[in-house]
Amino acid sequence: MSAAKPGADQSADLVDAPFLDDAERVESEWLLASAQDPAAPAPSPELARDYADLEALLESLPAGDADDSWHDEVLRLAAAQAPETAPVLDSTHAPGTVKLRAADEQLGRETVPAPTDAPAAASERPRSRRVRRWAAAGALTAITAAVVVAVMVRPPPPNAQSTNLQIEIRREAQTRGDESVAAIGDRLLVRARPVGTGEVRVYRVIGGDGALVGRCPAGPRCTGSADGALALDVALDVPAPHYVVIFEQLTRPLPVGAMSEDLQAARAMNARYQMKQITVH
Amino acid sequence: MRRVETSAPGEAEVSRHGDPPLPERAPPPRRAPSSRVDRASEEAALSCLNRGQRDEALKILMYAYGSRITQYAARMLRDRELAKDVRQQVFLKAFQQIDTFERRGTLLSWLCGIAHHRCLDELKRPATTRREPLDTLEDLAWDSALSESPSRIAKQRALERCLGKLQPHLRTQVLMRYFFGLSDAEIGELVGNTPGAVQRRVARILPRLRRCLCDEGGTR
Repeated sequence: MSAAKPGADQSADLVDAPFLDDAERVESEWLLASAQDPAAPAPSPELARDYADLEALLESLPAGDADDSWHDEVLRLAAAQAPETAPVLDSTHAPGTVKLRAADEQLGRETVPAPTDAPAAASERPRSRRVRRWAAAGALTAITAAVVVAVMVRPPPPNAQSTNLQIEIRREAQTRGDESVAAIGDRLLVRARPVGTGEVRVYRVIGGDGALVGRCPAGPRCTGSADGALALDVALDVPAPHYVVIFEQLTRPLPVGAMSEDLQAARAMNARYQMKQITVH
Repeated sequence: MRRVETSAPGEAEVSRHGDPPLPERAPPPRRAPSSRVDRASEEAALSCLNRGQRDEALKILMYAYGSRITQYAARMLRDRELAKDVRQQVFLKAFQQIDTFERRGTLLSWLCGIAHHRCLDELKRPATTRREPLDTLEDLAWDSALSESPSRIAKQRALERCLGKLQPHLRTQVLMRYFFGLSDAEIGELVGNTPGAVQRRVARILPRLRRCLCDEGGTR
């Protein structure tokens, strides 16, 4: 692409290519200088305006319409490719030495083969050696099982999902099956029973961050019961992603800021939170 | 006869023909492109990852960045159907590798890197029926342009044509900078260059784009 012949740019790397003319050199030098110092004087006001227009045009390249019709297919493929994490019975091993792949991989250990897999010659080995093998296999299996149990019952991380927390989302006119998608005009009803001091907030994503559009217990259209249950009603009147966030175990009041700031504050005080995204079309 | 405000309040200036002169538009200083990072979604996705909910994180990322990744791929590959395939591959790869995401940068930049490499892989394949005529790709200025003025649409279409004429390794840097709003350092990391080299390259690309736009009738 050039002034004389648009589309003729075949240079391997434009950085090393000769300038088409002095004007291009001057423009390029100014652009480079203004990348370091935005106040670098332009060759001319007209040129500065031209580049301002060009860069504005580049920034406003259409990003396309929101289309979520392909999400399910990706999720299905992702689920099919998800690595196995549950203990898996390895058929190459006898029941006495069930190989727990996930645990073994985590520990970086190998499981001793079952006696039934041992070659026939093993029967000719001294009895004491076979006893030692059996004992080692049994001990290792017991250790592996103990580690798996320990992994399974270990306490959840700070932000793990709370089991006694319930979120219910309803629409006024008609209950929709999919609680992650809503239409303009729907109402969002969030019910929660936070553990400890808690708060429910609803954010609407605007300008790259979440803006608070509803909160409970310290906001309008919020009701609280004596047993600590909270209910927040928010009108969905803007087509944008929304987040419902339930904060728990707050040790001090949350700030009232952008969603990213509030989550950061919650993390700073080791509070727990759960969130759910709702897309409003 | 209308009075026109000048730099000195109270003074009036009238053209020879009786019409007010057009006020001179001061050239704005250059500024870095706006970031396209969706902070709320990034926070939400990272929160899901902390809880081990990779599928939830994937959903959030698809909602937040799916459209932009698709349009980036379409502009890189000049093929909308192939762009959809790449989009699927990008998010599947993100799902598989999200545990390796180092939280130094943004998820947008990370996804952009995956998309960039997937597009380069596709472009290395022999071009058979892959490329669409440029004219049909002008419709990349499609749906959301319906609310724009005709002159604006004409400019956007001319720009799409000019972007299509850039070599892919140049086009990707323009798109990373302006379409994704990545910094020179982020772009440099993705394409294996220093931030300075990225700035030099962009400083060479923009004059060519400006001339192309003039030739295409997209600007004055």
